[in-house]
Amino acid sequence: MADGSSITKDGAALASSSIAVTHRDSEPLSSAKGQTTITDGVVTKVAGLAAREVPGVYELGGGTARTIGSVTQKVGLGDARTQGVSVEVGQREAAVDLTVVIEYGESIPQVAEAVRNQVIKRVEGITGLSVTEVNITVNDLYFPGDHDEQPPAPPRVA
Amino acid sequence: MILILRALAALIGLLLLIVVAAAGLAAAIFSLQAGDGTLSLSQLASLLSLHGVRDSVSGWLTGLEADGPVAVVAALSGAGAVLLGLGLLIGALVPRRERLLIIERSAQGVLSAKRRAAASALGDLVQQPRVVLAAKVRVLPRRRAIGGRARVKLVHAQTAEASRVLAAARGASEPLAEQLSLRLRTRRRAPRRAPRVS
Amino acid sequence: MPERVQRPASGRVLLARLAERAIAAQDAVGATAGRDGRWVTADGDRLIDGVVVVAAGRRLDVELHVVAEWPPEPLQQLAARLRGELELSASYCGLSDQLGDVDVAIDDVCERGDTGVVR
Repeated sequence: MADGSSITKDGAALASSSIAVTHRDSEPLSSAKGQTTITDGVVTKVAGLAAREVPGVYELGGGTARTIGSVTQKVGLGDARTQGVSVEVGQREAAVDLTVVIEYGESIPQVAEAVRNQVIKRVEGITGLSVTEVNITVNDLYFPGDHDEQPPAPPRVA
Repeated sequence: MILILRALAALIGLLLLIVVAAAGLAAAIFSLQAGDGTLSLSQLASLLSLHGVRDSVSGWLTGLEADGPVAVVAALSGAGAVLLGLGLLIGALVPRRERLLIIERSAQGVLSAKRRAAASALGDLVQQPRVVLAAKVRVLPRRRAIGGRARVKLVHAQTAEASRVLAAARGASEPLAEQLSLRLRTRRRAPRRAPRVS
Repeated sequence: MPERVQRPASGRVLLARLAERAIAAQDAVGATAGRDGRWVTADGDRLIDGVVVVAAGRRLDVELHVVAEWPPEPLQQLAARLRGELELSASYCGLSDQLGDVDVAIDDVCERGDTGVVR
């Protein structure tokens, strides 16, 4: 990495699946040594949230994934933000697989391109990983007037 | 290989269903014929003549206990049955991988769509013109290559002109088909029953 | 009933308090104790979430577990700033010679409105 630190895969201590950066050189703000660990879950979430920012993306996941996801979320096991997102994280790189529902009327290739660009920008900017590929599978097309499974939950914190 | 195992698993599943149905039927018949008697396994067994089945099977199994080549056959059969069982389990449990319709492929990744989603969306669009009464769409993606074909079968109103129907259906579905790199092949027919109005 | 004796805080607990303040000083960042609540340091009657301080001889190694609000700044930068804050506070309190490694774990990213980080 450009700042003189290196990335190693950290399989123990802080998280079961994560990347760790060991800072060996002094940084402008600190001279303490230590590792920065970013879990795979964070990378997944960043990719998912980035994809949702793109206009034309109605939802991530779809079909069975959404049904199972809504059940696991109700019992506190799942997270809507990572539904339909899968990442493979290496030492310095990540590959992202997304399953999306696109709003009908939008150009599918253009929306997909926008999703790709946004995911790469966010993942690389936030985590420092280089994104090698973003594979997108269109699981469904949302037609206005389709019945949603459930309305979006109101925020619990103002 | 997986396809064969899946087919075998489906076949065995069907046979087991038939056996369970037969057992249920036997229990029902027993319930009707038993009169004042209570349902018991021994009475059910005599109703199904299971004692006779047991005698013939036990004779066969006794034959298998013999030394020599019969024992070898028995051992091989046993091993074969175990392998078949494992194969059936794999066939039943391995998840099906849906063939995807590849829309674009680049160095940055692949854009694909699920066949069913594409077919469903095209079907909804084809049915939008009033003259189209019903439609069935089947998407046939190319293996490993971009795009594929979409076979559209639509049913139109008797009074509608065929060329108009086709034009309307194509007009409604072509923009999406183009985005999905699909070639449309459309067939139409009027409903089978006679019209009730002229 | 005898009054509870207030023991002076150890270097470990002092450092944990400083770490807690370093996390609190960041915008859009919060501490997390983890799903099973194991990333905590006991400070008398209360628990300091998201901070684990391990004494290895005289040295004190610190683990910080944080959650960032979406969209976060580059996480390496965030971690570096947390380390810097902690080091500065430790030097003011005379703990800099005891301060060992400061590991920062970014355990989650939350949107505003999720339970977790909201400032």
